[in-house]
Amino acid sequence: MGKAMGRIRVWWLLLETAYGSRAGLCLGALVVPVSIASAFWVAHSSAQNRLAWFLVYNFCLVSSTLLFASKIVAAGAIARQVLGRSITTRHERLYRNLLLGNRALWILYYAVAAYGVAYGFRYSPSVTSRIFYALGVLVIFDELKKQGLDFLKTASPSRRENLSLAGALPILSKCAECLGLFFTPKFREQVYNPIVEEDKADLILALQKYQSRAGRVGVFLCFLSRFCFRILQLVAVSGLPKIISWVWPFVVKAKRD
Amino acid sequence: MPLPAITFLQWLVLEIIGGSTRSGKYVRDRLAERGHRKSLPAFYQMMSRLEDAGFVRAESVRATVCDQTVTERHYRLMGKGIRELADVRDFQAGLEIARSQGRQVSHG
Repeated sequence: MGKAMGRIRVWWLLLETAYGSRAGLCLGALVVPVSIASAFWVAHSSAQNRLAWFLVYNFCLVSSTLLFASKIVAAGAIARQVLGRSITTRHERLYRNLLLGNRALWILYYAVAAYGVAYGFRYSPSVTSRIFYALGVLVIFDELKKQGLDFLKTASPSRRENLSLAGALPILSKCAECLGLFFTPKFREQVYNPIVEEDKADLILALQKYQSRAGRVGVFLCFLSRFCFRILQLVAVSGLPKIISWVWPFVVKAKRD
Repeated sequence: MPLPAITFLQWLVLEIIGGSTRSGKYVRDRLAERGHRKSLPAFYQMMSRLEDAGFVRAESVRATVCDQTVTERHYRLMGKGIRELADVRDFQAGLEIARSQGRQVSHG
């Protein structure tokens, strides 16, 4: 009876961890549609509105990713704890405090928002320059430009400046960026990024070739499937032997038992 | 005559890169022309190994495709790679000589 109750308590805790508090659940439910909607707005809105939507999009995307990642990590920790020995009230209180009650989590949100602002500035140099002009800061930049130090031009050209390519490119690029975080920095630099960039170049050429709406949708779907296959290939190249070597002892043990 | 330390495919890559700087796409296309088709991850994994072994050096170069910026990975041979390439050439020359001598012996 006690064991069963312990299991129920663990499942309840896992559920609570996954969904957070009621407010967390509402926030999680809101974040996904808002981020999708703002991604589309980023691609299709005018230059003035683009930055604002871009910031919202980035904030939602990154904060939700971090939030769910932290929850997954905590759920994994609880599961490990349960597998090892029974969960104690002390551990329960620790995880509750960490995920539900800790106000320090909001610092993370502010950091993410700051990151979103910086990221938005990086990809929207035209909007950035307008804001700086409005604030009167650009006088300093003009002076620097005279001295050969053009700060705003050092930012990479905006991917959203060319509206004819908007839509598929930012979405796939974002997916690629996020998925790249699963790999080590070295693997990302030497293997993952060159692959993504080559595919991106192909995508740009394909989008340039097929200008109609139906053609674009077709290209987007083709590249989406290609991207999925790339991920599988990457896993096969990098992680499969490791996964097999990790899983195999468990399989052998289960077979023996 | 010592055996070369690199595989045939690795030698082919070093041979394609040669004395200049080549992009990954260029090297992959030349490999495909010679009948060695490899998927992008497998190719870049191989290049990564060559890079780690000190045969080649890679750098990321910005290129423009239809007004959009993409980053290409460019490779060039390092001293170790050049030496290895020379060793393989010596090995092949030695092999050719041995073959021709063998032929002469069998004809004689």
